[in-house]
Order: sequence, then structure tokens, then C-alpha cells
Amino acid sequence: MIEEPGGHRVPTEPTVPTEPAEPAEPAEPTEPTVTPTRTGWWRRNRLGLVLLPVAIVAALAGNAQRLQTLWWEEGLRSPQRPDASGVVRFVDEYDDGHHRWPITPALSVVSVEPADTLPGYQGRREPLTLPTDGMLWKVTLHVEADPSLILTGCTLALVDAEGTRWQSGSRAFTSEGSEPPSPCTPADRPGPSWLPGQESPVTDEGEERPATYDVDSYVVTVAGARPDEVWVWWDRPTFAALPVSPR
Amino acid sequence: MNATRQRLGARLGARLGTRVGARLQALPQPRRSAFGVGALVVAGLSLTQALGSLLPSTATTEFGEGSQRNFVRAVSPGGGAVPLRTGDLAITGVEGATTVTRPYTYPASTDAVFLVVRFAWTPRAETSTIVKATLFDGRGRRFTVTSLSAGRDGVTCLRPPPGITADCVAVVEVPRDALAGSRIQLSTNAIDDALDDVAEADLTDAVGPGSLSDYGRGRTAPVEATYRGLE
Repeated sequence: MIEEPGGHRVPTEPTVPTEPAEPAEPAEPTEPTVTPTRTGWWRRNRLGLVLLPVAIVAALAGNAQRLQTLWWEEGLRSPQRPDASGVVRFVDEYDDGHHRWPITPALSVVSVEPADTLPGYQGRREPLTLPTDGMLWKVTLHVEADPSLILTGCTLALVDAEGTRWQSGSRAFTSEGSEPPSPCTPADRPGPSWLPGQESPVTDEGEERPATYDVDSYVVTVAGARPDEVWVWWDRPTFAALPVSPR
Repeated sequence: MNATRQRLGARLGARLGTRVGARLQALPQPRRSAFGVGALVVAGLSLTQALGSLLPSTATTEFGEGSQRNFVRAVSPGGGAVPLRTGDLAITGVEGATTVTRPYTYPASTDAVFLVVRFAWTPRAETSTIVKATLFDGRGRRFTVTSLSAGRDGVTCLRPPPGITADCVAVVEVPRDALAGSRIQLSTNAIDDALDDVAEADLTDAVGPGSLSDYGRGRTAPVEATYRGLE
């Protein structure tokens, strides 16, 4: 380096060794007086080392919008589990910005068992054909709830230890019979509902829901499935997680 | 180290000439730390290569350019299933037709060609289905249909429970000059499949090297989605 009169340093061209006039012992290169040490490197780069994990976290967070849309908003991530009597005192709320009502039934599993028929016309049982590798389960829930609560619109699923989730209402079969319309309300007495445009919940005449009842639903799984839990939910992410073993 | 370098320089100098030998002697002497830096560079390149395999594909897709690209998973018509994020997909057949029929609807006919791609979809952890098909032709044009398409073309696929296979059909109505060099992508999300898996099949061999002007001409293809075993 050459220092100019103004104090600026300008780099010089690298020195090219000139051809020696006669063979001579090459000069020993001058060893640096201070050798870089490991401690020196860590010290020189300490700011970058501190900021590196921050930058990694920021980069991951910046690309994690799928966690927001697929898991935080749409995922079932908030289970409510049963008390010692096997009953889930479910507490949730429906709120779409226009309508808002509580969802507070007490839910328990009566039975979960394989089935080979579906309910048909006038109480008949109808056989069905399942897809290749399919299997049908009948799930019976016991529900206790204030008849004025709106309980329509729920979803039920069987879940195994690996988290595989089979939902009711798949209609993955052919049969003269059919699945009940809702896994949480009696087919003929669903109780109140609140549709857009209505000022308040409405219960059609003769469809008042009892305070306690059992309700069946049907789930198609793959053959050999070993469901551990019954999940019931109205509005994600909250759900009731009920062990398959009967109360 | 210096003595070795001198000997090497002298030998090379004798063989190549004094000037070259002198220049070799003047080269910077590698230090132990330089080997460490080299090892770090190699490790960094290996890490980058490993990360690259986890990043979205660079292939062009309907949605998701740049950092929002898809993970494109290649699947061969008539070959095995390819695992996508939510299930397994296999192309079971490709055919051309000028008329398609669906249950309870009138047949639809075209002066162009209906490219009919039959595939099997088996969800894994929860119910899902294929809802979008995009055909890319050899000239860079895109033809997209979804499950909301009605009447002529579209994706027809049920929503099977996990482990149950649905036999599905994607019908794309295209001009005949779109058949050459075409490929089709199948996706589980019709609105935003950024950063998600899509299955892609090269249709070059399936459409065939024959006369594309007659491909599927006069043929009728039934379009119906079923669960396997319930046909």
C-alpha cells in the first residue's frame, strides 16, 4: 500500500519477481508477526454470528404463511378431552361476524363398532357395497344439551394413533340406505337453526330436539383401521376428542 | 515446506525453464487455515445441494412463480403412483376424443379434441381430492380446468376417505396443435397451490407419435368418477 499526501491509501500492483541474474538462494518469505487465531475469528465475526440465527428465524417465518392458513386457521389443534366420567363438556362458539351463538353440549361415546348395513326407509336396514379395501363403522354418541342450543352443522371423524382421520358423510358406498344427516342431532328432530336472513334461531314445528339423546353416524375407513378416538367439531380449531372405548 | 517448494521449483525450472520455476516458487504458500476454509466451502455447497432438494421445483406452473413455486412430482402414464403431500396419484390412462359423455347430461362434442386423462387418487391422512388440471403445450400455452368446470371439460373426482382409491377423470378441450409436446399437472388446490405438491405427467408418449390431426377423432369417452370397487 502507498499512502498519498492526503492520507489516502492506494493499492499497488502485485510485485512480480524478476528473473534473477544468476541462480541464488531464494529469500525466505517473511512470516507474519501476528498469526490469526480461532479466537480472533470468532471475535471478528461475533456480530454476524449473533445475527445469523435471527436471520434464519426471520427467513423461516417469512415463508411460513402455510402454517397460518393450513394449520392455525384450518387445522384441528385445540382438543377438549373428557372428564373422569368420559364426558366432554364442550365449550365453543359460532361467530361469523353476523351471527353468534354458544355451542356447549356434553358429549360421550356410547359405542364404536363395525357395521354392514345402513338405515333405510321406515326403519329397515339396507345392505351396502363398499369400495375396495373399505370398511364401515357405526358410531353412537350420547348428547346432553339445552334444546335451545343450535347443534346443527357438526362433523364427526374416527382418528387412529397416527392421526389419520376418517370423516362421516363420505358417501363412499352404494346402498338403498343412507347416512343420517347430522352426527350430532336426531335425524327427525334437529332443533333450532339460524340461516342467513333470519332475525333469530328458528325451530320447525315438530322438530324440537330433546335434552338428551343418542345419535348414530357412519364412517367409511380403510379395512383394518384401528380408530383410537372420535373427534367432533363445529368450528375449527376446537374439537372434542373422545376415546373410542365406551363410557 | 520451503525446502520442498524450492526443490520442486528447481526441478520444474530445469524442465520448464527458469522463469516458470521462479513463478511457481513465488505462488502463495497454502496454510493450514486455507484447508479449513476449503472444507467449509465444500460443506456449504453440500448443504446448499441438500436444501435445494427440499425447495420448490423450477418448472413452470399455473400458479406460484418465483418463491411461491410448486413442488412438481413426475408421474408416468401407466406407471406407478407418485406420492404428493396429501395422497398418492397414478395416471391410469390417456385418450383423445371428440365427444365426451357424463351421467345425466347431454354429450358434448368438439371440432378440436378432448384430451381425457384418467387417474387414481388415494388420500393418506385425511380426505382430499384433485380439483385442478393444467395442460401445458409445447408452445408454452396453458389450458386450465377445475372441478367447477361444467359441461364440456373439467376435473371429475370424488373425495375418498384416507386409504380408499377414487378413479377420476380430467378432460381438457384443446386445439390439436396443443397436443405436441404437452404435459399435464394435477393439483389438490384450485386457488392457491403455491409451495404445494403437484403431479406432472409428460404426455408426449401417451398421445403418441402418430398423426395428431386424427388423434381421438370420432371417439367417444365416458366421463364418470367412482370409488374403486364400486363401478
